[in-house]
Amino acid sequence: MKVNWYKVLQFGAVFVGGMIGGIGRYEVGLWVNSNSLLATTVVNIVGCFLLTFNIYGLDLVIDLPNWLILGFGTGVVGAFTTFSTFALLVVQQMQQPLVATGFLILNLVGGFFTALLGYGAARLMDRGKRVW
Amino acid sequence: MVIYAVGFGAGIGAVMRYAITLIGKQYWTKWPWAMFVINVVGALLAGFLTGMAAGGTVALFLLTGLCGGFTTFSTFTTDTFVLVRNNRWLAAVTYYIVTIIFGIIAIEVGWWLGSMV
Repeated sequence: MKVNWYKVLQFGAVFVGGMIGGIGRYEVGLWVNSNSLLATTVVNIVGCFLLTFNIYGLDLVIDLPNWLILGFGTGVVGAFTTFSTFALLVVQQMQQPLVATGFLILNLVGGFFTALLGYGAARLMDRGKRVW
Repeated sequence: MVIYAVGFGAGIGAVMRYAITLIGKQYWTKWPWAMFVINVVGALLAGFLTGMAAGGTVALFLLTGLCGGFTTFSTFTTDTFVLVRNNRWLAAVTYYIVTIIFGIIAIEVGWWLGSMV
């Protein structure tokens, strides 16, 4: 069997990126004194900006190899943000409906809004055509 | 040591997510179902681990690491954004809400299963 080394490189990039993203998420949790609601909101909102910015911006303006874009987007940013902890926290806060709802809406609306911002920033950068 | 448990778990989770996304792209071109499956299955596992009161390094590896790295919030919002950008507003809202509802149900079911272990 012939090994497709480019595929190996792509999977390797996702693995290493995932490690970095996961550790980053854990570190953010430590910085905010393990306040999981705050930590999860921060990683999710920051990550949403970074992902659309990565997909629509970095790819167009800077000539990065595909495996690096993949490692950063799918790996780092994908593992940095989390859906499972988000859903878990919503359920854990059910006794305080106001907190649960606020957290849910903040993540959903905030995440979508920063994804838009990331896209907008990418567009602006594309127009400026600043190339590093 | 703690950091390696989280990092290793997240790395494995990210690779699993990437592999499922690749398969999903071949079968579902109109809807981001692969990401839906990933997030709901990850939520089920996270609920299960919490229900069985997993703690210490095991929880860091499987819950913070594997589940956290496997599921993703950024691609979830970006997929929704792409639907909006393609003027598929109804699809975007449906995808957003259905993922959340199934995610919460998955946590509850996983929790219930985990508490029986």
